[in-house]
Amino acid sequence: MNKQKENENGNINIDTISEEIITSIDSEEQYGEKKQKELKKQKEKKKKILRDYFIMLAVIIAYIVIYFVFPSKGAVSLKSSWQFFIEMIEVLPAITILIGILSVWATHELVSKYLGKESGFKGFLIALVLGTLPAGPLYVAFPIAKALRLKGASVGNMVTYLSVFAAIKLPQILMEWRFLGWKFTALRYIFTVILIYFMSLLVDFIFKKTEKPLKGKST
Amino acid sequence: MDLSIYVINGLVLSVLIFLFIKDKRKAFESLKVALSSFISLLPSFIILIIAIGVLLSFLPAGFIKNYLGSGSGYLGVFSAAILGSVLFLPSIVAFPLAGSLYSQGASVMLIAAFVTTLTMIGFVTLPMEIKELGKKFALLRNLFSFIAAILIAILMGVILK
Repeated sequence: MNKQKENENGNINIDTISEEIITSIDSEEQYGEKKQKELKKQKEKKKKILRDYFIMLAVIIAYIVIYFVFPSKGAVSLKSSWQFFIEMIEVLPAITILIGILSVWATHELVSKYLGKESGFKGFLIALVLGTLPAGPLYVAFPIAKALRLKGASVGNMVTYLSVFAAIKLPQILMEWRFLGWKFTALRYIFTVILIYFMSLLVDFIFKKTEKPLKGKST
Repeated sequence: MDLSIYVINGLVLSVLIFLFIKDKRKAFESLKVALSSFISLLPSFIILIIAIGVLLSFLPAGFIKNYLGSGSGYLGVFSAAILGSVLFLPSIVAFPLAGSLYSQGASVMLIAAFVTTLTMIGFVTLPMEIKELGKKFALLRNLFSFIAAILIAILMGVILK
């Protein structure tokens, strides 16, 4: 009897081990696929950057031509371009370093760890703070918002997170302050936060009225 | 002279020094990311600088004030909001552009509407948003963002007159 139990145990062990092997193979395959996809993405990005530089070169050549065809206008435009260039170079390195810092330290994984089911005004505040941190264009936030929904966050919090991610960013705020003044910047962000709050309430209300909450999908 | 330059550079520099003390490897990594984002942003900036220079020298004096100023009214605000929704422009590049239009006499309302829809609404990425989050969610979010942008613009126009 004892032996049989051992045997059973052994069987189970073998089963679990083989299962583990299968899942590990699976994930390795997935990992390879992911890596390939990333490589492809990087290649595409490089291509895009190269194309941007070609366009830039064409514009510079056009600028030189304009300068020689209309010398008087050329001098004026060169002066304002130069002034503008100085304005940019005073803050651009700092802004890009800030983007670098945020993208290394405030990763999406970190953010989605803290974002969750918290609802109501507290949930709004958490989504507000976390939304301002990660760098990147709006479309990288869509999968995060989807993951939030599966985690059980309210629709309103998804709206808040996405909108804040899109509209309120530290490098962006600094840039706006530099080029549009503190009054304009402060007012616009205050109104933006207030309106995002009402938007999230409204969308949440509409979804609650017309749809049952996603209970089955949350784990 | 301009406080914002000192605050921006001072803030970033002190954060960077703090991070170098805390984690050297990660700090280097963020500098690497910074360099690559600088390289990818540079063409847009150069093109913008040239375009603004040429535009300002060729447009007759007062053109921007006449067509984008407070005289442009609600139609101007609405058009700026539409333009901001459709364009796919990094906001870091957009603020200098908006700033130079603003200093040339474009109205507060127009600039606020443009900047707000530019950041909050992604017409180009709407198909992706629909695919990931559903048609209803994506359309509602973008529609309400548009309305919010118009409201923000009007409120700012009233206050910053």
